Amino acid sequence: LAHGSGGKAMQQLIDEVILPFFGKPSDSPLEDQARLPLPQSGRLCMTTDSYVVTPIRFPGSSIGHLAINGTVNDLAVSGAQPLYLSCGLIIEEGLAFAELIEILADMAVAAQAADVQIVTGDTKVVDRGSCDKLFINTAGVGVLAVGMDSGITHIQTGDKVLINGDIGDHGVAILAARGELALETTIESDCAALTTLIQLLLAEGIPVHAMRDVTRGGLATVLNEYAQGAGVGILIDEGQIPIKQEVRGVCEVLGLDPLYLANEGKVALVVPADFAEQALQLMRSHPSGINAAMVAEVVDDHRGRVVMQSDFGGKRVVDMLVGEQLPRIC
Amino acid sequence: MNAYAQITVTGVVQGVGFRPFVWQLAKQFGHNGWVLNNASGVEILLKINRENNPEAEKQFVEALRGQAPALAQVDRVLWEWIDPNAAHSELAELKACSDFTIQKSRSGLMQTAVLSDAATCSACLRDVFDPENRRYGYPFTNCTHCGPRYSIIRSMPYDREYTSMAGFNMCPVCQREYQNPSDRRFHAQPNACPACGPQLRLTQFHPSSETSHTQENGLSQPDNWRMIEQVCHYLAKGLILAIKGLGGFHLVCDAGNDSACRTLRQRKSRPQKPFALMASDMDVVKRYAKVSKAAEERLTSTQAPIVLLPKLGKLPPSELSELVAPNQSRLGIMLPNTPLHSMLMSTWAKTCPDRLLVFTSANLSGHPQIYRDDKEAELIQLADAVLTHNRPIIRRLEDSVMKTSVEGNDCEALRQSRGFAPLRFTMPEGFPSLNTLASGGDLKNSIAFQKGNEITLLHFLGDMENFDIQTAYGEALQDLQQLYQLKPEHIITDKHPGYYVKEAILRYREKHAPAATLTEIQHHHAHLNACLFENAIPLGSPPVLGIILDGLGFGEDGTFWGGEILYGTYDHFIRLGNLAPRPLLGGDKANKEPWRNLYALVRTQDSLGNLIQRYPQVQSLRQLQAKPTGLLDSMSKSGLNSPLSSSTGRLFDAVAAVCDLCFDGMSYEGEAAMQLESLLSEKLLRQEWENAYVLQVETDPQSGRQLLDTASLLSQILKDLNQHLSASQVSARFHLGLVKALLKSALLLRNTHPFELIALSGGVCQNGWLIWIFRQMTPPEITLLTHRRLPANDQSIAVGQLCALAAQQSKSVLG
Ligand SMILES: [Fe+3]
Ligand SMILES: [Mg+2]
Ligand SMILES: [Zn+2]
Ligand SMILES: [Zn+2]
Repeated sequence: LAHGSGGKAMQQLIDEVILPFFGKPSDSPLEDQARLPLPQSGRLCMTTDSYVVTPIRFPGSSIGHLAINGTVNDLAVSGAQPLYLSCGLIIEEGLAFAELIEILADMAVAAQAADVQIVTGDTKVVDRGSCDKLFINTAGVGVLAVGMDSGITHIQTGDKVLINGDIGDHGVAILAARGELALETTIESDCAALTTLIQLLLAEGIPVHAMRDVTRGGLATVLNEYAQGAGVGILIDEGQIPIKQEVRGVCEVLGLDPLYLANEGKVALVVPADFAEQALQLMRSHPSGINAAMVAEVVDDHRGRVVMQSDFGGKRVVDMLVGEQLPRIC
Repeated sequence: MNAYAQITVTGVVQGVGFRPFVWQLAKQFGHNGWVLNNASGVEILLKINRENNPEAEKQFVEALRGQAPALAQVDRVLWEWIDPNAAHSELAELKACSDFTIQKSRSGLMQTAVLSDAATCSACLRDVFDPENRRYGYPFTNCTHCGPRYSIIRSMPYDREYTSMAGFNMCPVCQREYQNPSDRRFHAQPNACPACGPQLRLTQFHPSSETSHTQENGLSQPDNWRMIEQVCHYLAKGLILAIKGLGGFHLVCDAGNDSACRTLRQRKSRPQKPFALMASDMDVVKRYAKVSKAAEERLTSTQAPIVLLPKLGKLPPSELSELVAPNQSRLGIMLPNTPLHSMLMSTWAKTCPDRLLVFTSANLSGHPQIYRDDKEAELIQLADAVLTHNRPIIRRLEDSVMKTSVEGNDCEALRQSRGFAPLRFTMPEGFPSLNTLASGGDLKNSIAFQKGNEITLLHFLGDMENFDIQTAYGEALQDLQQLYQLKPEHIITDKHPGYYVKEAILRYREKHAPAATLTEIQHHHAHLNACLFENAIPLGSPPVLGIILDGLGFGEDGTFWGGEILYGTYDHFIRLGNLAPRPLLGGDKANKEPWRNLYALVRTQDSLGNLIQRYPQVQSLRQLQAKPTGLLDSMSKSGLNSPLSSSTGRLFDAVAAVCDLCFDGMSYEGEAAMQLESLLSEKLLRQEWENAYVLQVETDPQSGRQLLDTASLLSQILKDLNQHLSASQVSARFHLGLVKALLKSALLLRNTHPFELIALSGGVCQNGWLIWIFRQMTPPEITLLTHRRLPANDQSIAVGQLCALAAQQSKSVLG
């Protein structure tokens, strides 16, 4: 790709390369904005996120999948049904057409799987070095049904924390894909949309108290946000954390704590204890929740902090990370 | 004609039998007047027949200082003569005195110092072992000269109602002792007897053929002696007992029984770390270990710490299990410190004469010692039976640990807690009076504070990553209000951005001292200061050279330091040299797995394959082949979780690993270094003196600092190992070479940075032989400062932090 001067080259890029993947919202001529019907009831829900991951392709996924699923999940964890996305592409001069096309195809596939439409967008090509191959921004709009009202403040002592499967896969896949590490692994990113899993739980009447997608900073960070936001203590049961043996092994060698590794298809749900077992069974019946587990409980003790009951070796405090993981031992 | 005097005594003078002592003294000298406790200590008013006794002042003050009770510590005696014609408010009353009396405190009793727990005094021991005495076989016997203090106090003032004795009402006999100034139990707050005090209880959790004492009810329990006989019977059978001590529960078993020791290691999941031992008396100690005069003094002191003693060469193998202290040249032994211990050990001496008992803290590996009665259930996992009682422990106080120097003429502290805590120091000359709180570090944590011109170091807490330790940290911070009435105007913490203490101290500040200033002091500067402080170096002294050898501390340049040559004073320092930094391959993992540090050294030399070809006899190199070294290479190259560190501890780890010691991992902190140390002897060191490894000292062109190159060390070791030199020889040559290089560097620096003193500090300086080599090699014109009362390790960080701030404050006041 060359840094286009706008005009004809850009028009061509959009018409011939991008639009075929996303389609137009309708057959009307292309305008600068999407015009969308209002929902019958409920509230609009909106989010935006930018994706700058390196490398842009990695085992099991790409920046394209991420740009769709990340934004979809930010909407989905509110309990909303995601509907429309925008797509802003910032392309570094020199990116191969073939690469761009692959990513666009990934976005199209992901959008279809997540049942959302890309309704508007923007494309810029910038000087070499001004960005790293490809940056994507997506904004999303969804509809939140009447009465759907989960949030950190609803968390109560005695609640259980559930996660829908193995943690850390995305983090390890990215590490491996960077190629800097002599890391041979079959681990693939867990990148996926969480909408149908969450909607299944809601449809079955699970009164979810809080939901957050577990992304950068890992499970430890989300649980700390819960603990601090709700002013409760959270006690993790180390033995219950689902994690692939291979991910555990990589962490062991590299000295990383899997609790802090990134995920792209995980949600940490806080549900009342009475519904925990039912929610767990529902999650396990869904393809994105086969390895779902009950990993923690909300306690009255150590308010504002997350503590992990280890298999051996007592209770360890699981802090919010300050920068990277730093050694402390003297 | 009479003379009148008002005397104020400060120091540790309350709750230690000081007033009865003054009463006896006054009677002895024939003075009238009175004594009372007040806010600053003890106040004495004397009516003296001066004409008959012109030496009154001198004699009385000398007696106050010289004959004070065992637990008292007299800091100052202020003597003021009262003019008989002065308008003194109490003069009239004093003139009318015809006797000497002990009076009630006038201005709301205020304790000047929180007292440490003290081992049973000889008088109380006589009571306990005297069949005619009403306290015969009573394990909670104490008096003003001994017994629990810090372990049972909730808040000040130090009165029974604010201790865990609050629930026990004294019987009339005890009450009379408590009120009688001539009794040694006068105002002994935990005073008790079999009729009114705490009761012993033996419970048995695991079903066994003998189920004689399972009842929980104190009344149906057998008497104390029979219970203890039962316990000794269990111990002789190889069972494990949990026994409640002053500051927490111990797990106890027969130290001569392999299978009992093995079971204990399994239950605690503690594979290697040495167990502490208890002996019934000094004669038994001497059967197992070499005891110097200094060590004997410590063992029999009121603090009664564990003392690490050189193991005797030829022990009858049946008497001490190899599993007690594997791969160690020393044994950690203590003597009884409560009447219960004394009763147990005397009975044990009859059951199995001359045998030691293992006395290790009751906890699962990674958990802190159990001390609360409501945690009795956790003891079930660990012990077959529990010998406990109903006097609650208020704070966990682990056993203090001391070590005899290799010369044998001195002892240094490795852990200051039960018996010592809270540890008070008067600041050396020149320091300003401040109210400051210091957080300490994240490992081996202890909090310290400065109040006025005194520094107090609180008890040992441990590793802050552990939740229970953080809880204890919070409780210790509460003590600041309830026990010490401290209102900090300054708060200090470490520079490490991820330390848990930082978070905890910030929370404290927000809640209790929002106006307090906040300062961060670099870890190794704190180490340096702690060493200067305990050697009483006055503020304003010329700069010294600090050789700080430890594990890790966060450096001013964002890397991790730990092998540092610093030049400075209490208030500031510069870094003049350090061990060449190496990556910690895997961050914290590198602190636990010595092979990673070996590999970090290997990488500086050549490919592993080439080294194996060159040194085919070196086993550890082959073992490295089985490790994911390629991944570590790429990790270091990409900068992932491979922070640079100049740590001395990690260098010891690498040397241990190449000798195939602790290659895969350490089961406790410092294990690799301790194993290298335990291989040494004076004979070996002298024999290897000329064969010390050479560590090049280079000047770093960028920083101008001296770098001690550890890379060349590896090839020298590999060459030796390839020629089948023993690990002992390698260890000796390494120790000698390291000290030699550090001193060489120091002497070079002396040309540009003059100094007379070298201060040695940091956890690695707990290594007795390392210090010994320093003493041998340091030229006579330089004085070495080392640690004695304050541990060289991170327990002293808080004290060093306080000194730094106080020094900086004094400077800023002077402008
Ligand atoms: Fe240190
Ligand atoms: Mg987001
Ligand atoms: Zn006594
Ligand atoms: Zn009594």
